[in-house]
Amino acid sequence: MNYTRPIFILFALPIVVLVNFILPARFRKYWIALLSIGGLFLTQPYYLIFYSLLVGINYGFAFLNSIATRKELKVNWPLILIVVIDIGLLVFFKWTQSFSFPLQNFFSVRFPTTHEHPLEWIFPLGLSYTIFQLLSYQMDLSSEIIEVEKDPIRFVSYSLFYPKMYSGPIQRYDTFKPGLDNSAVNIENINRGLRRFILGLAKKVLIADVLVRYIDPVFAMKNIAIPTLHAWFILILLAIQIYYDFSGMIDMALGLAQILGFTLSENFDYPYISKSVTEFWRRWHITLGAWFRDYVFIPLQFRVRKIKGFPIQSITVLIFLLTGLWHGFDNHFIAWGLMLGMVIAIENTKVGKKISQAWKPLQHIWTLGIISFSWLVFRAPGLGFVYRYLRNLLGLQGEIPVHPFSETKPYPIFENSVFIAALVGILFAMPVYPWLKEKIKGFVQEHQKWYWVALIADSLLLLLLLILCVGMIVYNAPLPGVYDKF
Amino acid sequence: MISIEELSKVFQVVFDDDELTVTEAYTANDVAGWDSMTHVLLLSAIEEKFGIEFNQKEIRKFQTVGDLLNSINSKL
Repeated sequence: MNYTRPIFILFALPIVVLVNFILPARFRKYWIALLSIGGLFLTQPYYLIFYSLLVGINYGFAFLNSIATRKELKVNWPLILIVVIDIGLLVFFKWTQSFSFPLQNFFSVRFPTTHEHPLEWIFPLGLSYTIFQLLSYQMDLSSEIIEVEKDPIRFVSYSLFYPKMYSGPIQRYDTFKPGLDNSAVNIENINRGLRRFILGLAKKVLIADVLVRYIDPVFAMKNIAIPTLHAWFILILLAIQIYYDFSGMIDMALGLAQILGFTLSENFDYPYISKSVTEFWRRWHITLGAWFRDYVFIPLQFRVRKIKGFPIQSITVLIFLLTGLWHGFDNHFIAWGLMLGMVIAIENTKVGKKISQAWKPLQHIWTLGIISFSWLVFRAPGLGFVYRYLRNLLGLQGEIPVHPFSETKPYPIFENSVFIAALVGILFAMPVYPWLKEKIKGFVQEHQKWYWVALIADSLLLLLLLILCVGMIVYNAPLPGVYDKF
Repeated sequence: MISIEELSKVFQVVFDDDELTVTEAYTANDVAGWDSMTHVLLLSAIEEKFGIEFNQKEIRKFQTVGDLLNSINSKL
C-alpha cells in the first residue's frame, strides 16, 4: 500500500502510530517484521514467495560468508556466489522491465493484466533498493565492519523495512541496527516523524504532482511540436518535479521510520544549490552515490593504484554507467549515466578544475544546465524523443498543431497553480526552510510570550497542509512516485 | 612509530596545502578536497612514503585519521 493513498494516511497511519506506541518492547521486532510483510502483501501479494526466497537465501549465505571471512579463506566463495545471485536477480527483473520479457508464470505467479498490457511483468516493489541493501550487508560482513544477524525476524525487518520499499533510501545494516536494538519510540520522535511525513507529502502532492500533470502529456507526444518557450518551461518544471517527487517520498519514508523508532540515512542535501555536477551527485540520491563509492569506486581505484598512467576517470564513467543501469536497461538511462559520468570525469581533470575557479553564478548555470538536460534524457521515453525535444528547444519543431495533445487531452493552458507550485518549488529547493526555522527559534527564545503563538501557528500550518494534501489526493487520485519503479 | 605531524606532511602534499595539519579525530569531512577521488591518492602516497601496503578490507574500516595512523604504525 503506497503511503500517498488516502486509505493509508487516514486509516492505516493512525493505527500504526497508536499500536506502535502502546506495544510492549518485547513484541516490537515481530511488529516491525509484520508491518514490512503486511505492507508488501497489500501491494504485491504475488511477490511474497519471491521475496521470502531472496531474504532467506541472503540470510543463509550471510553465515557462510562470515565463516569464510573468519577463516580468512583466500577466495570467499559464499560472498562471490551470493553477489552473483543477487545481481543476477536484479538484472533479470530489470531486463524484463525494459524489454517486456515474454516469460510470464516463471515463479508460478499470476500477474494482473490490463487491456493495454496483456500479461506484462511487474517489477517487484523496491527490488533495486532491497538488493543493494543486501549486497552492502554481505560486503560489510566480509569486511568485518558488521557481524552476522542471527535473528531471522530482525533480518526480515532490515531487508524489507516497509518505509524504504517505495523510494529508498538504501540503508546500511550498521546504521539500521541501532533502531533494532533500542528503538526510540517516544512522543518526540512520533511528533517529528509525523511532521516530516506531512512535509514530504506536501512536497509530493502539492508541488510535484501539480507539475507532473503538465509534464506527462508533453512526454507522451509521439512527434513532439510545442512552442519553444513552452519547451524551455517544461524543462524547468521537470527539474523541480523530479526533485520534489523523489525527496518528498524520501521525507515520508524517513518520517515513517522515525515514528517507528528508526533513523534512516538522509538521501538529499539541497542538490540544486551545487556549484558543480560532482557536488550535485554528493547531494542527490546520497545513499546510491555512497553505495557505488564504497563498494565499487574505491575498491576498483585501489586495485589499479599501482598501474602507472591508468585513466582513473574511466572508473568514474563506469560508475555512472552502472548508476544508469541501476535505473533500467533502456537506452536513455544508459545515455543519461554515460553523460553524467563524462561530465564528472571532465570536472575532475585539470581543465575541469578551471570551472571551479569561474565566476560563481556561471558555476551554478553550468550545473543547473547540465542537470536539467540530464533530466530530459532521464525522463524521455527514448533517445529519439530527446533529439526531437532538442529541436523544440531550438525552435526547429516545424508546424505546431492546434491540438497537439489530441482531442481528448487539450493543449494545457498553464494555470496559476503551476506557477505557484513552480515558484514555491524553486524557493524551497534552497535552504530557506532551515534558515526560517532558525530565525523563528531565535526570535521565540528572545520573546518568550510568542512561544505559544509560534507553536500553535506552526501546528495549524501543518494541519492545513495535511488537509490540502488529502483534499488533492481524494480529488485527483494519488500518482505513483518517479522512484517507485526502481 | 610515525607521528601525526609526519602524517600531516603527506596530507599537505596530496591536498596541496602547506598549512594543513590534521589531528587523530579528523574525518574526511574535516579536510577540504578529501573525497572519493583523492582518497586512494592519499592512501597510495602513504604507502609509498612509509613503505607499507594496505589491503581492501582494512581501508573499508578507516573512519578517522587516527584509524589510519594506527594501521600505519601496526605495519612498521
